[in-house]
Amino acid sequence: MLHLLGWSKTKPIYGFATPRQSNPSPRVTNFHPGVFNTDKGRKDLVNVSEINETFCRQVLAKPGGDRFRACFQCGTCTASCPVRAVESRYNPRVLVKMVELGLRERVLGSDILWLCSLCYQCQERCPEDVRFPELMTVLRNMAVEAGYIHPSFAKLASIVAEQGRIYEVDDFINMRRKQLGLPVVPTDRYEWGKLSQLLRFGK
Amino acid sequence: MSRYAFFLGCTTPVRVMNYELSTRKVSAKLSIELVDLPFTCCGYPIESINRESAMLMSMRNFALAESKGLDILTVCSACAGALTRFSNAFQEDEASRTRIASQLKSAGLEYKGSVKVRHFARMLYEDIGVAKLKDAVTKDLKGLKVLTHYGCHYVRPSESYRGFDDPEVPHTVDELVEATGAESLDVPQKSVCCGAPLLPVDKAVALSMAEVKLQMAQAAGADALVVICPFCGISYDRGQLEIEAEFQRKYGIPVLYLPQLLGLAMGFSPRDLGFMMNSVKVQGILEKVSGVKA
Repeated sequence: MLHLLGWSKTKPIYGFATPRQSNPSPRVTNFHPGVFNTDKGRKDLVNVSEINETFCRQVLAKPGGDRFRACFQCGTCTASCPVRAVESRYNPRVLVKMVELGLRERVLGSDILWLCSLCYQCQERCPEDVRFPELMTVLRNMAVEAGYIHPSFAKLASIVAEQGRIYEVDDFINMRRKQLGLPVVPTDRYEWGKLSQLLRFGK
Repeated sequence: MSRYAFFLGCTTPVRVMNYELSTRKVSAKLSIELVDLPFTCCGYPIESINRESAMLMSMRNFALAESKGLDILTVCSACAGALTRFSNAFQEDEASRTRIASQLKSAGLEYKGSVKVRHFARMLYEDIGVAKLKDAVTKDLKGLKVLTHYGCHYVRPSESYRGFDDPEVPHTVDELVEATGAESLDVPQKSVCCGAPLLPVDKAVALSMAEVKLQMAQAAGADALVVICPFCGISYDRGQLEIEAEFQRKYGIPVLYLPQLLGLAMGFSPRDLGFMMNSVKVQGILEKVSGVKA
């Protein structure tokens, strides 16, 4: 099943995905048929040594991360997903399963984690009120804490921390705005300096 | 005359000035006063990095608007969504309210919770109304066929918007469009995502997502796409040129911001509405509009 997430393709686009370990435990033979087995030749299958039992509890404890256990794997999210419609490596249903299985490194270190467009279509349609976009936010926040951040987001964070906006407003922009009869973008930051000291990103 | 704190967001004032220009023109015509304040990022892009900090940034904007006694009006669906969700969390979750309030205090700010936030299009629909908008139309756009695009966060998550519009088959912007006399086309899967949030993550995926709607527009015979979000606009307008070059296909579908379309119907010149800044050529649609002059 997990090969659906594209893990077997070993295609770390951004180069920060964690390398897969390869020492399957011989003790577990039938814990979860189809997912776990001892076939050393199948690198797309889950290795039980990867399971991090505290991961589920950590996710559940965060606001927005407390609904994923209601998932019964119906796949409505995946069927509704506009990203999935064009990119088969991305599959929200499988991601929920991976969280449930406690595959912390695979989830947090995956570039797939950054492919959700947060359109909320799946949240509207989920029969179990799993709130996938909220789960996604929790997982991304945890990934950042664990040191995995998508390079584009890292760049964006440093600009926002400094400027308070995702695009810098320079003299050229304000000149162009003046030509069009638009007011210049206010430069008075209204306590942004003090507030930005309290932000926990982009540092 | 109604007054609002005009929340332009980060993208519109820098990259999508045609949207801003036309919004200001249409607002003036409808006696809506837009007050510019030193707002910063709504928090949406930061939510993926650190939700708590994103909420704090968001609430700074509310504190600023409250200090002027104004409600917030946005032109970006993503800003509307983030501000609404964070505002709801502030109102409803006592623990996070206490936490955020104390952090705001240490930055010399205070927010009591009085500010409401709405998207410009929602305000038009709810406050101005379709009938009054029709009265402001001086040039009937009959014969023009457009396909609307809402921008996900204008209606989703529906829980945050408390019954406004429909998350699957939204209709409010269609009604606003039809006030101009133009026909708003009905297609299945109208509420697809434009893909813009993924432009910095995986451009090929983002452009493929945008192309889905362009194909719908082409199949439905639309003269233009009408959008209400700067990200959707970038995805479909500038993105369309990239899609055509990248995937070797031809669309040529003009992308108008809702106030650009409304402005045309109100008799503003294309120049006043910033049409020269649209990426996909708009000559075709402008000729069509001037041909049906009322």
